[in-house]
Amino acid sequence: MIKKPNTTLLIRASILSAAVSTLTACSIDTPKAEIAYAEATIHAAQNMGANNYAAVELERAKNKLQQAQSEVKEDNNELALRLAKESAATAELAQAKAKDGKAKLAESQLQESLKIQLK
Amino acid sequence: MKKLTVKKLVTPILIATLAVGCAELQKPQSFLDAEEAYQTAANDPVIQKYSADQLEKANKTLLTSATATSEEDLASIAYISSTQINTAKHLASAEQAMQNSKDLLIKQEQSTAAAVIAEQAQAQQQLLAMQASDAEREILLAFGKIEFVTGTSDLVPGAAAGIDMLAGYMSKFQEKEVTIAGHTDSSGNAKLNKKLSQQRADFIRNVLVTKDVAENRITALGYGQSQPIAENTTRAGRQKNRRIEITFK
Repeated sequence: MIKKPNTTLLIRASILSAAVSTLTACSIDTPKAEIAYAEATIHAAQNMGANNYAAVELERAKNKLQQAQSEVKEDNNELALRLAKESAATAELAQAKAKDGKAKLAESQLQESLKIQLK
Repeated sequence: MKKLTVKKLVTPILIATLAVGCAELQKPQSFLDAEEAYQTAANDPVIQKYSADQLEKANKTLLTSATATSEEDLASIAYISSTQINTAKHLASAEQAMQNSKDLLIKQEQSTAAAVIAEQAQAQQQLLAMQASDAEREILLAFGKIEFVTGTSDLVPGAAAGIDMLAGYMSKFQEKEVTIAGHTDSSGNAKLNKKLSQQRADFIRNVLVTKDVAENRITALGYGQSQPIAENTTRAGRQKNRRIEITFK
C-alpha cells in the first residue's frame, strides 16, 4: 500500500492541500511594511504643510492608519493591509494637495508683486 | 475505474465553479467611477505632461482588481485608485503653477533687462547731446575769433583752432551736418564781397574735407554783405559784420 498508493488517495490529498493553501492565503502576515510606509507618508505630508492645505485628507489618512493598527491586534491582517494601503494613498494625496496649494500661492503672490512693480 | 473517472470530472468542475464565482464578483459603483475617472484623467493634457507616473500608479491599482477575492477588496482598490488619480491631478496642477511662476520670472527679468538697456541708451543719448551742445558752443566761440587776411580767403596765422575743433566735433558726432556761412561788411564791391565770403566758407570746408569730414555733411555758403548784423558805419560794427556763421543740424 505504501509503495503503491491508490489514485483516489492521491486526489484527496491534493484537494486537501489545495484547500489548505487557499486558507493560508487568507491569513497573511502582519502588514508591517505597509503600516510603516503609511506612517512615514503621513509624517512627510505634515512636514509639507498638509495641516493647512489638506486637513481632511490628513485626518482620514491618520484614521485609516489607526484602524489598520487595531486590526493588526485583532489579527485581521488582510483588512489591516487594505487600510494601511488606503492610508498611504490618502497621505500621498495630502502631500500633493499641499504642494499644489503652496505652488498656487507662490504663483499668485508673484503675479501680485509683478503688478505692483509695473505700477 | 468508473469511480475514478467521476472524481476526475468533479475536480475540474469544482475549480470551474470557483473561478466563475470570482469572475462574477460584483463591481461596486465606486470601482466603476474610479475606472471612469482614470479615463478622464488619462486624457487630461496637463496630467499627461506633469504626472503621468502618478496616474500610472492608479492604473496599476485598478489592474489588481483582476485578483480581487471580495467586494471589500474591490471597494478598497476603488478607493485607492481614485485617491491616486486625485493625487495625480494635484501634482499636475502644482507643477503647472510652478512652471507659470518660472515663466513669470523669466518674463519679468527680460522686461527689466530691456528697460535697463533702454534707460542706458537714453542716458547715453542725453550725455552725448550735452557733450554735443557743449562742443557746439565752444566751436561758435572759437569761430567768433577767426580772422582772415584782408582781401583773401586765407586765415591769419594762429586762427586755425576753431576749425580743428569743428573737425573733431564732426568726427565724433557722425550724424551731424554743418553749414558754414561767410559774411562781409559793406566796404568794397558787393559782388566781390559775395565771392570773397564764398571763398572763405569754401576754405573752411576744404580744410574739414582734408581732415576727413565727408563733403556731403558740409554746406558752404557765401552771403557777402547781404546779411549785416550791425551798422556798417562804425569800425566796431563792420568788424561784427565780417564773420563766419556756423550752424549745426
